[in-house]
Amino acid sequence: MGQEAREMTVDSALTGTDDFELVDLAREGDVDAFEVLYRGHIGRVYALCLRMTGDPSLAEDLSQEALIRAWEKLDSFGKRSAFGTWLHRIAVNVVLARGRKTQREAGHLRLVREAAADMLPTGHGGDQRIDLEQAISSLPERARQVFVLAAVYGHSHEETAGMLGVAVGTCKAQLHRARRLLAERL
Amino acid sequence: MKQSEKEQRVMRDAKRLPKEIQPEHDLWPAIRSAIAGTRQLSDHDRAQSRVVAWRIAASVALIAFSSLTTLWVSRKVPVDPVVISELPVTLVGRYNALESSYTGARAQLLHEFTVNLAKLSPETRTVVEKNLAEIMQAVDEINEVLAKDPSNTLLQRLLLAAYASELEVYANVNRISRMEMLRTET
Repeated sequence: MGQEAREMTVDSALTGTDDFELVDLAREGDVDAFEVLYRGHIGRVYALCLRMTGDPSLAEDLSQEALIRAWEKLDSFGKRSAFGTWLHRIAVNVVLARGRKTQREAGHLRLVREAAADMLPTGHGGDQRIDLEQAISSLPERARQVFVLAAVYGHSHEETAGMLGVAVGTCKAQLHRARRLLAERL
Repeated sequence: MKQSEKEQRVMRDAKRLPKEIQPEHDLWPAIRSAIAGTRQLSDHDRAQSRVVAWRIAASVALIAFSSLTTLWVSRKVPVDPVVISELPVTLVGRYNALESSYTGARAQLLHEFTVNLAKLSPETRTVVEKNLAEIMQAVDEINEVLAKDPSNTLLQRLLLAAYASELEVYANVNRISRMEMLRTET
């Protein structure tokens, strides 16, 4: 189903309602209001999950999980930030939680993949944006996460370090590593 | 181009990447089915609440009709204000203390009611019993939904109204019986 067709299914009475009002309605159990929030934010959530994981299928699973978790935690949303910002944090946490699970399950495979990524050949032709996306997805996991949050989404080193649960110094080092690898590959 | 220039370009290009990417599949149907019946009142529960509300409204209307019918069938007593009719207002502000208040008032009225009910004509008794059955069914349904959504103030009020209606039926029957007794004695 195309995006336009999907939006046709949203309750038209709710279209144009601001996010805070939609959150209030959703807290009362209004699933239609939550669907409007979903339609408005899924693009950002999916883009974040996709870039942090480099896996479209996994990114869909994680986006879905992030939205479900947001629904469950709506009562804790204090409206101190935009709904999109709050949802972004939830999505980051969901991606990291899945990453920790994956690490436990297959830590050795991740090490092999990262080692292989470091040895990828450099220089590609074609569309520069696609190249950059592909190059980001090929980065080692931690470097990719830092790069996506800091360079693509503009979070400070402190914010990025806080979200990832690492030291600021580690964050800076991973960003430097990511930048170097990308510059070599593009 | 120097390495540092390449890295700067990578950072510049990263900032320009689109912040939204739509997933290939619509994730909403899966999200909707996952959140249905969780945490908040689902569509089904809200529909059930509306049904309960209508039942209560119907019960209250029936009780008003029943009181008049009872009096009409008896045709022997004037329609005086009923003391127990103050209960809804009293109870609404005391939801937490409701159980003991309700249980106490009910026990007090029920014993006398059971004796008096037997004295009523078969027609009057049928009307009273039918109304009570409607009220008790509504009480059960409200309690069932309240168990899933204990903070629902509408349902709390409906429950109080239902309890008050039940007590009012007992009180009316008792009152009519007492007045009838006085009438026959004099």
